[in-house]
Amino acid sequence: MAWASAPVRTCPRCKSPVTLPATGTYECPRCRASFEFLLPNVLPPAYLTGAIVPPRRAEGSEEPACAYHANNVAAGVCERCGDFTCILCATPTEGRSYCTRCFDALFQRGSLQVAQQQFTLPQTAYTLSLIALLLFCAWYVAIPLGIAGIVLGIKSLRQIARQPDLPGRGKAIAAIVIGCLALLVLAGVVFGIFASSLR
Amino acid sequence: MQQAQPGPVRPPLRFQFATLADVWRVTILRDSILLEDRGVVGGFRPNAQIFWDEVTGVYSWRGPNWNLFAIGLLLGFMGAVAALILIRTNGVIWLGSGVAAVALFSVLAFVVRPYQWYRVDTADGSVLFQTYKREVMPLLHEYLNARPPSSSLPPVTSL
Repeated sequence: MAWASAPVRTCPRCKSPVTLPATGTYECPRCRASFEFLLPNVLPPAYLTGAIVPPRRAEGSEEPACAYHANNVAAGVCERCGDFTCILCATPTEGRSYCTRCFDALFQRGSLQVAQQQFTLPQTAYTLSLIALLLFCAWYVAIPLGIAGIVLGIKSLRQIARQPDLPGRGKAIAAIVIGCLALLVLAGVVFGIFASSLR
Repeated sequence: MQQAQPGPVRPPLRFQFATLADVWRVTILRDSILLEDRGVVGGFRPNAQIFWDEVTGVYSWRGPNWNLFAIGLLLGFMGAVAALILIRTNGVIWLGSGVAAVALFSVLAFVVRPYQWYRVDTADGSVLFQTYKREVMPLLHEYLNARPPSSSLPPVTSL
């Protein structure tokens, strides 16, 4: 059983190339780490399992064809780009029907409602930073909270850079600013305690 | 419309693991592995789904539990900070406690409670997850090697 182009096998610990001809336990010749390898059986592509067989379009027929599968009869229209879609390509989402390409684009940009509703990271970062600032007396609690607020704020901004339609950019920036401010205040408090203990 | 013949019903295997920033949930289904992630709060959202016919190889090995190690480092850091602040009184005790915490959690992470790590390779990349569940590898063996031969599949009628 061979793949058309053999994938590169690497040691999971040191990432150096290794030869793994079959399923079994191996030891990396470089780092000596032991690991188990499972080589899958040759598998058919998913569409061969025959879950859905769309109606085939006769040659020369006036029925509209799917934009992605010229041999399939179109069953609908993408509500974003207007391309015809067959029953394989139609992707019903949040009350609308998209083609696969538009669905991918919407998903990648974070435009889907489900993605926007679940993106609560900026709010979390903002809350943590604010708590850190307010709890400056309890510095041992506030320092980790402030760091967490800054880290989550940066993470939110990076996520928003990848998916520009996600909400909460302003809140993430506010979380970072408040978190830094809280850490400055806390540094002063800790320095004060340290100085007084030395006296 | 043809329907695929249902195989033996088996409940999906589901487990979670956490990194420093995210919590991940892995579900091993009959046809695929589903990975979902969430932040500190909020619900899980799908991150990746790998169908068995995309898998080019699975690796499994015992590796450190970095979460335990991180807890040890955090306790050590707190001990060091406390020692710095209380340097005149009982700083040595705090410093000793911090060092002991790092040592204890390192032993736990690397020797006593290491994770079983898994790497699933596909043509598009790899996913990495870890768990204490022992039944993962036998299940992957079953799903990746117990497929029907191509000759028993229905003929291609479209596409």
